[in-house]
Amino acid sequence: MRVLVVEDSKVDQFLVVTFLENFFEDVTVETANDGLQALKLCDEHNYDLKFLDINMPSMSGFQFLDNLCKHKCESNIIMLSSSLHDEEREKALSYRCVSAYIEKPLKKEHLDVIKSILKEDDGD
Amino acid sequence: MTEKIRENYILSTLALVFVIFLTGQASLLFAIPPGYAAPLWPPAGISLFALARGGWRYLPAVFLGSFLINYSVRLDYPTDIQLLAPAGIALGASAQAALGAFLIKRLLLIPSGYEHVRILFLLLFLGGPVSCVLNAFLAPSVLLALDQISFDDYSYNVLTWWIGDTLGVLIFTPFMLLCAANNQRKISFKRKAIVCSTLFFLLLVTVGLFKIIFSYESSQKEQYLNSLLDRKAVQIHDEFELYMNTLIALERFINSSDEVTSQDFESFTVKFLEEHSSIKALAWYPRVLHQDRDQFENYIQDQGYESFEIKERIAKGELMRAREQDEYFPIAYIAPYDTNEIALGLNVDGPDGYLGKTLTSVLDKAKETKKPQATAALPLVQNENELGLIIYSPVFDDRYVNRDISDPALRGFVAIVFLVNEVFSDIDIGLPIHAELLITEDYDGGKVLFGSDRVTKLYKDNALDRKYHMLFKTVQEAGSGLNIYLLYDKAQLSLSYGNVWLFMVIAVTFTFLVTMLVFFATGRAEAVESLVEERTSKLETANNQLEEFSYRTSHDLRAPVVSCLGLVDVIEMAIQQGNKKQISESMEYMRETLAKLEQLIVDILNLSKVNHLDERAHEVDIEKLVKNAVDKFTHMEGFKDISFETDLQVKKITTLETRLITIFENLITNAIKYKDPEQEVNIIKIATREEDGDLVISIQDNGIGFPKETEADMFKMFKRFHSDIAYGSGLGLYTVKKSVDMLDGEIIYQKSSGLTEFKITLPMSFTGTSEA
Repeated sequence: MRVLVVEDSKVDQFLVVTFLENFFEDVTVETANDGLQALKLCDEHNYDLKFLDINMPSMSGFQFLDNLCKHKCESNIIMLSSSLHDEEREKALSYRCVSAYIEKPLKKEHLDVIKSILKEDDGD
Repeated sequence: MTEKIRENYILSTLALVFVIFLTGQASLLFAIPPGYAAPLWPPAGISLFALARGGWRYLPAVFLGSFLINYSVRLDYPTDIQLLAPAGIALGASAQAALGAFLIKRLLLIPSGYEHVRILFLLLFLGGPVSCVLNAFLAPSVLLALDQISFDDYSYNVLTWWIGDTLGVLIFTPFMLLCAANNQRKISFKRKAIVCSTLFFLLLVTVGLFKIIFSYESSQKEQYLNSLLDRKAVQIHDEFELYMNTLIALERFINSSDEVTSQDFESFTVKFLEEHSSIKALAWYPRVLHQDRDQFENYIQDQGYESFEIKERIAKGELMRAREQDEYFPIAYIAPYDTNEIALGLNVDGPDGYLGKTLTSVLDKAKETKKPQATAALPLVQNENELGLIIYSPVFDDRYVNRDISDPALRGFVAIVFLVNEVFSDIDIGLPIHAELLITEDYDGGKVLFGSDRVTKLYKDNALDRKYHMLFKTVQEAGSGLNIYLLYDKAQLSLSYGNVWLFMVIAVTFTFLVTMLVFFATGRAEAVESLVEERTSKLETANNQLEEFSYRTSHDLRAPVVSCLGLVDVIEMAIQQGNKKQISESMEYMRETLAKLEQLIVDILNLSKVNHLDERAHEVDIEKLVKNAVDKFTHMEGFKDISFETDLQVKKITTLETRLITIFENLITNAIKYKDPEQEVNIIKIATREEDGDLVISIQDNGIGFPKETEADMFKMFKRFHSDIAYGSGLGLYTVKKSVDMLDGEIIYQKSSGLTEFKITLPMSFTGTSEA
């Protein structure tokens, strides 16, 4: 499984990577520090899953989505945010390519959601 | 002077001349006839305003405008004065406006603005009543010197001039304020419209009421003066009626017998002469045919007038025996004889060497019309220095009355003689003090029968209407036309409209006060409105900032906590798995995260200090402040790699110290944090200098700088640009900008020769308060 983590905070990158490595076998995780870097990686590779932070310098999560959707419709994107504001969740889920919105921190309970997304993808 | 400025100046000068001329013409609407004294003269206000606001360079325009308007008013003046008088008056008007402007400018050196009520009224007092005294004296003096007004009229002219100019300044003041305040702060179109329409409306009402009151007053006055004229005409008629009756009585007396003797004549006339002193003589001129001449002369001589003969006048004071004629009309009897002795025997139908003509036409007319006929005024034989009038009445023999005129039925003429001056002067009709009478004969070149020397001269020069308002009436008395003029001194008549003057002073003052009230009231309303607007917008901005702040802080404060919670989970799992490496890695991350949280809290506190710390401005030692700020960051990573250069040309400033510290600390820490690792030497240059009286602080570095596209957002809240290099709360530059704003300064970011620079300009001495 190939996963892209788009996240400016090193700590949060570490947390997502550790989480994935702890709960999934055979997982390759790549990280991008902001939207621009992520766009470039998306152009070059296909990922089974993408974790996307919202607040990032240079290009925010939403700007990244706007740019990504212009080129190709990717799915299996999980938005990660530490914000408690409903508007942000609603906005995130309004994108077709966003499969889930998870409030940080990523926990064991979120495994089901992630797995169901991966399963859906397999079924397609 | 550039081409553009010169063009503007010429245009504005022309406009000013035009406006002065136009308002001058318009204000003649208010002129109180029959003079041209206008109780409202806006050009005075406009000129004052032009000089006070536009400067002395508008003096030529003021002069020219005033000259043109006065030139047009005095077109009927003699040619040499046509230019001199307006030039003199215009000079006075310019001097007056200059004086007013000078006084106002001196006063405005005290910076309080036009809107300050006390100052405003002082200005009005100086610009209006005080400086208007100047031309009120100068202009009439010019007219007096050029002999265009008399000394009697001088004070009248001074008064009316002063009132006109003062009211002109008064009425123009609201305009002046609108334009003046415009320069200091914007006056809304609505306010201008309200003030101007109030002024125009009240002016219109004033003009209307003025016209009504004036026409009422003037018709009353005209009516009164006409009644005086009528009374005079009636009196003259009564006097002539008396003469006519006397002549009729005399004619009947002559016809009562064939032989009336000198003695009979004298005793008959004595009663008339006693009763009417204005009658100088009553006389009988019998018709004497040439063949009867000697017989007639003998007849009269026999009655006791031994030297009697028929005579004619050959020159002044010289009589001689009349030359031969077909018939004569000599004075046979004349009463009173004593004063008229010299005229006895004078042939009235003969040539008169002194008059240069005969009176035949008068006699013929009397014969033709069979009615009494007066001569033109002429010097009498018995009193050659004064003008007299003689009325001849034909006497016909009753028996031949309806025969042809050449018929011997004409027996002669009876005549009444009087001095014109005495007849017309002794009849008082109660003339007003500044009015006088002039009575003239009603034909071309007719003599003045009655009138003062002054009016007689003006009448002869055909210049009566320049000085006098005239009413006149032509009457026919004893077959002659008389013109009776009632002359009223124009200046005095104008002034005699006391009610109109009073009305104008009250109406213009009222207009002024109401307009000023509207000006201030609308100003206050607008000030309140704009204050509310300003406060509302400030509140809105503050509210938006607060909302964004709480949104962002809730996120930024929660994020590290959330990360720590995640790290705790990881550590827990790592403990279970015995993964020591992961434990220490997680612990390291946790420390880092908590440090950032602490930094964020410190930054929030600093920002709140910028907004709310109550602080007074005092002198700050910049050198010390910079040293402290740099020292504070010696513990920072990479500090030792940095070369600090300071060049502090200005070392002291009076400002709010805490805010200045905030500025320096934030910019220095940024410069350290975001140094460029690829540079061999990292430089931070801190400099101060003076520019245009302000302090300029320059903080330059050769760090990584900002991406071009982010420069616009640089000073916004929670904007981070280099989170990959170092942690920043996104509040640093926002806090710096807030601090600079609070110190009434400016901050710009620029790049030059490989260095990035924050350039801050601050006032050398901060005079505001620390209130946000």
